[in-house]
Amino acid sequence: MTESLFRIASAGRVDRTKKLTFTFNGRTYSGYAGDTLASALLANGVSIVGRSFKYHRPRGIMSAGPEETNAIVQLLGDFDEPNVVATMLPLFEGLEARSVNARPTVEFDLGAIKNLFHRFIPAGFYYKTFMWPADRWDWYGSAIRRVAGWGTAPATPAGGRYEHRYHHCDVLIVGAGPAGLAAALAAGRTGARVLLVDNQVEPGGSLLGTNLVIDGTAALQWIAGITAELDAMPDVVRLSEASATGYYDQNFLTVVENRPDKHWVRERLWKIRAKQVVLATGAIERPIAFADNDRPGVMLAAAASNYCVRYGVMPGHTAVIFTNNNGSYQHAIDLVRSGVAVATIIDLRAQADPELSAAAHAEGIEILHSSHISKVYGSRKLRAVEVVAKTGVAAARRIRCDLLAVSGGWNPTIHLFSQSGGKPIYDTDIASFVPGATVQNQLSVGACKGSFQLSRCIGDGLVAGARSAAACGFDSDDIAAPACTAEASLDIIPAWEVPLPKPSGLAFLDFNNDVTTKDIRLAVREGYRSVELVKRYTTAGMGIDQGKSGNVNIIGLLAEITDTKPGTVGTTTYRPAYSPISFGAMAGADNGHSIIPWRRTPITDWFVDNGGRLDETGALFRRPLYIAHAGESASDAINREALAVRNGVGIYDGTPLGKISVKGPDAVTFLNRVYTNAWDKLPVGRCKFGYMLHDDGRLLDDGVTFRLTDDHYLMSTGSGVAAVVLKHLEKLLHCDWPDLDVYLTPVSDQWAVICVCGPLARDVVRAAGIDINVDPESFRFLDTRYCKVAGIDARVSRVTYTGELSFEVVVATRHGRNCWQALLAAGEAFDITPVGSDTSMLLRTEKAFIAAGLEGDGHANIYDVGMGWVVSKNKGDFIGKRSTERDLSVGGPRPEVVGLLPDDTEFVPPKGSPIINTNTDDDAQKMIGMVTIGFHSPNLQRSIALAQIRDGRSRIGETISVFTKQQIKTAKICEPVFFDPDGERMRN
Amino acid sequence: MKYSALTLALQGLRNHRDWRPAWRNATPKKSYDAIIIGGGGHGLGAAFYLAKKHGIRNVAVLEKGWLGGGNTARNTMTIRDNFLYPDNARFHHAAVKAWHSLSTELNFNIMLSKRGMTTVLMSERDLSDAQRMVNTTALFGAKHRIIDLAELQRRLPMAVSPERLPIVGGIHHPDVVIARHDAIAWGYARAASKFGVDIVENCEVVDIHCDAQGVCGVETTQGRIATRKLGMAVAGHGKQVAAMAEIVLPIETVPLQALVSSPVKPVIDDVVVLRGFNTYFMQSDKGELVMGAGTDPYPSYAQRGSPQIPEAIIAAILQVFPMFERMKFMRQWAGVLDITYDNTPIISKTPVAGFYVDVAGSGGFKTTPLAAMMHADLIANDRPDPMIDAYSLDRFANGRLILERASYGNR
Amino acid sequence: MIYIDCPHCGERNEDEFVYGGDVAHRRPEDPAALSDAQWCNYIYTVPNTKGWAEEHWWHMRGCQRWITVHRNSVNNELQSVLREKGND
Repeated sequence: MTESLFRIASAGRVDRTKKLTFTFNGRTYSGYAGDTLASALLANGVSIVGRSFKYHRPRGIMSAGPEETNAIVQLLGDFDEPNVVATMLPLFEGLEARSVNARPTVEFDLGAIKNLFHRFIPAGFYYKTFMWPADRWDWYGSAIRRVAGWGTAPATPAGGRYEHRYHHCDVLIVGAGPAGLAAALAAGRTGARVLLVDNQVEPGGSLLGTNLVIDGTAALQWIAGITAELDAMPDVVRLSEASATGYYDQNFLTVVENRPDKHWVRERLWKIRAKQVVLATGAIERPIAFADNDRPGVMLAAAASNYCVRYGVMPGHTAVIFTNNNGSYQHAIDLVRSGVAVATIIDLRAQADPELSAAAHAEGIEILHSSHISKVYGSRKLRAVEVVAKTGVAAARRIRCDLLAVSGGWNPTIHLFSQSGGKPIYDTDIASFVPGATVQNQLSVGACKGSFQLSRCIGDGLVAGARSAAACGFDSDDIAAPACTAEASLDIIPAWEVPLPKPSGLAFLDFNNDVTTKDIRLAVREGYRSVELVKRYTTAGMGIDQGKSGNVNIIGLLAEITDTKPGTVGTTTYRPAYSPISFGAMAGADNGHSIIPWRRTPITDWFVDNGGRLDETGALFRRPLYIAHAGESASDAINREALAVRNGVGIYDGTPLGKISVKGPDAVTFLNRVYTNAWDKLPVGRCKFGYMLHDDGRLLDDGVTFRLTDDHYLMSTGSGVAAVVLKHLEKLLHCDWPDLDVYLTPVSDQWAVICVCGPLARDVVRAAGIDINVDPESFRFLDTRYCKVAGIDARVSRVTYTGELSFEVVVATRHGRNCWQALLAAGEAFDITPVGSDTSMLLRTEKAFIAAGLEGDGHANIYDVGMGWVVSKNKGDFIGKRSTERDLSVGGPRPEVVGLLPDDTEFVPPKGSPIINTNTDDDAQKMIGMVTIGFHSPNLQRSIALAQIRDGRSRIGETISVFTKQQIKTAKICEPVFFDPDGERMRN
Repeated sequence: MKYSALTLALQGLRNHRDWRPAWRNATPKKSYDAIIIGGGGHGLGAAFYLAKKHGIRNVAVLEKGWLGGGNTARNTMTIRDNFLYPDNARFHHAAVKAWHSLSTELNFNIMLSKRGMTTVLMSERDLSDAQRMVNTTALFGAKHRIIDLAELQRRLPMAVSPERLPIVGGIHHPDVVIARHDAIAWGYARAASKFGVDIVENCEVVDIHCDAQGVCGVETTQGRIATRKLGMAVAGHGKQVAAMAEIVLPIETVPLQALVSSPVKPVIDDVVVLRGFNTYFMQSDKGELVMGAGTDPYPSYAQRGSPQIPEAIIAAILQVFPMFERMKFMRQWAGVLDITYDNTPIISKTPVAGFYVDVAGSGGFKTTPLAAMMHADLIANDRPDPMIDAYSLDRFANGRLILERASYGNR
Repeated sequence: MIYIDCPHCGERNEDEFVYGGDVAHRRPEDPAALSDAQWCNYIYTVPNTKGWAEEHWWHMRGCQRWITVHRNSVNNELQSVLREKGND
């Protein structure tokens, strides 16, 4: 293939020995290593790369950086990806991409018909119409949704790997342009730990696209020298293709490193905590609003010269420059030296820097002062421009060109500064916003601070690097700033827009969302005057580029229209992310089983292997709901397990229970203050049920606490609330009661808990081998003893969660599985049945043991749930006491917990079903309670339920109605205990 | 000028030069029959209903910044009614319904979209909680429905059951809608302004004056204004404003973060809640995925996002929608919510006669029209509608809270 | 992601900690002496300070000690971080 007409022989930093083939919109092209997709497309003369969001106007490449607003493409192939910015996408072999937002093709887009109707669809048009027929926006909305959106969400996962990395450093420098490199050098030489990140493939920043001279040699050599020195420093880390995306509290920044190693990690999200931050993020050139300023071939001036110098690509053969500042003169000269014929510089100003003017003239460039573009010819590809004098005396002149390089000035990239909490201020010298007062340990240097001269960028960078390192305790000698090409000041006159030749013309401010100068005027006319309202009404600045190139122009124009100053209008809030971050990179390695740890007990694997239906049960555990035999339904399994516990023996893994060791001379005092009941008389070797409240009276936890020695107690808590209880108790000890001599140790994971329950439990424990006397008289209900079970050191207690004779065997976690197997083996003769937590819930419902979150919700207090017996009246204050003593007559009847026996014994009241007063139609009065849980009890051979009912206890014996969507069923209110009301069985 | 396709077309031919401000930007008068502090959806709505339903038109809305600049500007547009407890279930169900006629009533398209919501349940425990919510709220006409795996797959064909938290079923909430958040403020402002309500931007209330009879006026950055009826509908600073009338509101100010992806063509219609991950998202009309989770874990007035919350939200979404791997996170933000101990609003009289509050909606965007209507009714009649009896400030003195957060959805 | 200088462990990210309330929201010495309204006020009304406040935080994923953090709720700026009395 011969070299394209747009490729400049031997210029640029692309590697001409590495030719790459790529496909765009189905056509195959070639480029070189070092190209971006954008530069390669320009090199192949592709002028239309996309279609605009609203009017579907053809669009070409506009910039050479992350601010690109037109060249948004869908990457195809293995890593199908929507909304990729072509100017930041390094070309690779086999790259496949297509334009977004165009049907059927970007060349011929049916959507472009909208451009004909643009006058009827100005900003916010949708607020004014689509209201007929009433309440039918969806008819229109679904059609509008289809034409909105950019790329297409991929249908399948790409399967990429991503990782997160934490990094701590003394000085983080964002941007490896001249200022950033200088700062890195100065900081690095002190020996400080430095991290230098940059979003380009190689360091140099703006210098890569210019022919400037530093210390008598080409700037590129200066860059290479510094880069080599930095890379040799052991404490300096340098990242390329790494975009700093967020600046958060206390100098925490996120950086996305793109494809650090294609074969291993696609993207790496760095989470950086820096003692000092130097922002050297540069500046972004902005366009000027004139009629049809979005035509393919209109490009930012610096981008045009950047493509020539850096990539060796001419974005056009004949160029016109349109500018309002001195900066574009050098770009014009660079274009000429690259082989682009630059006919004319159209300068809005009456005069330019004399030296620059002379230099331009020397290159044969004509300069038209006090003039501006009035027309652009060529809707699909620029053919010519029309220029008029500002005063309008001279006749309009038409100039042929295929490239219009525009500069409306420069906007410092203050996004990260602003995210750090700083407020931008308007600087009239550069007609843009610069960082105001610094709020974190941070400095801005170079163009992002509004300093555009190379010598100042480097000088300030050196100072900032040294100062930042010194702030971290690292000092070194000053580094002399190198001599640089002298540059004129910007000398800008603000130009947000130029007059339109006819009122129907469109001059774009936000190219991404198709927002024009007329839209801004319309918004103001309609009263949306604040910059935030203008943004929201017109959607300006809310597109994929987040207004990087357009926002300041909008602010400037708004100031002009509302007759105020841009500084008074102010900016909208800059929010992360500076550049979009893939979902994959955001999630990192948080996927599959690593997103939520799975806490296992020593018995979990046994359940997995034996038909346990595992479910999330809080505190990251997955426990069996039931253990189904082959072919058995859930309810069959639960019924079988429940019958076994009541009539034979069951075995249950109680390991997830929380366990907190409470130790110290004041342990009893502490327990008295945190539980509702009194603990003074509990002897060593005994345990007791405790009820723990929040101070607002809500149930926090209930469980059994054991007295192990004189000053050592072991508290068991619900598995889900173990951490909450620990936090609650530690806070009381650390903050409220520092005088108490008590120490808490969470020991939940140290002990496995196996519960053998049922009438035959004693036989099983004996059969397994236990070296203490477990006769009912020697080992009573609520006793706890150290002993050996099946030869394993254990602590065995007579506590129950099912209301049956139970032995809770606690062994060291590492012995848990052995102990479980030993008890299972010993129980085989008694047909021992492993049971799950659904079964346990059924058994507790038969006994009406209260469950937190069901009966014990935020409304029913300790008396309402029938637990008044556990409140000690004879001790001092305890947490929650004052709330239980409030006058409860205020505000009407109490939601009391009662039992329900449905008249239809097959009807199981669904959980949550309202209990209703059938004598009223008033919604507010209708519901008098709710079912908290319902079961079919295999032991009682009928349905049972628990419920909260207003004044329920005084209504025992009455019949009420249970509402379900299908029917209303009657049930009798009863005492909330259905089985063994006197508790004979558990005490046996 | 009435908004319609016709006027839009006519104005198109006239280069839209005849459009007038949607609302009059008023300078405050010396005195009003009623003043509303807070120019967001709730405040502007209250003014609109005062004018329309109660004939009280000598009303001013005072906004310290720009209209709709508080939580009206920073929310995720989802209007839902999945609340467990009767008072909340009834109010929120009615609140969703109140949105439906608004575009026509205001002659401003608020883009109400009947997307519906699907909750993905990832444990039997969540399913059981869901059954409780579905069964209870059915009494109040809510149409939540438990759906099985097959129906869930039909509604969300892209959803994949995650390894760690396998999907067990779902809930379909057919009544859930979304609306263009900013539009509700602008629509109310325009409609209220037409009734003669004065809308005053950049007017911060710095003090509230009271005399023996109660409220008598406010001191603002634009001078003193007299009134005997003062409504407050502010979010994020309710505590500070109420304190000017020496009312201590039991609220805590907590950030709520949200984020959007870059826009893509329609991929999902429903609002999707991933129950096991406490995360939700939906796709806006513009094509962005709008994603959110619970409130931040500590109080703050800083309207800033933090890095870890978007990471957690996106990691969760990728568990169920792994094909979104190459989608792009584009922007994050944080609003600040005033929340009460029971996560339930206060729409109430106060101990100061003539001072009424509509605060602490806990993400009160979803209740905007009904809360505004009730607030206006309260201001006009000085007694609460039975619908908001339970939202009285008294509950914090007598302990009759609606402890939604101690149960479903707030474990 | 605020950065808390735990007096026991050193500087750690926010996600290792759990917020535990405003120090100024102190439990009354003698709850029995309060009226119902006063008690409810203590339970339901927190200071919700706008600006600098002393706060309890728990280093849950670290030393599991409670500490006092001086934080500005307007911009998340941090000052002194102290041990709780119970940890001396």
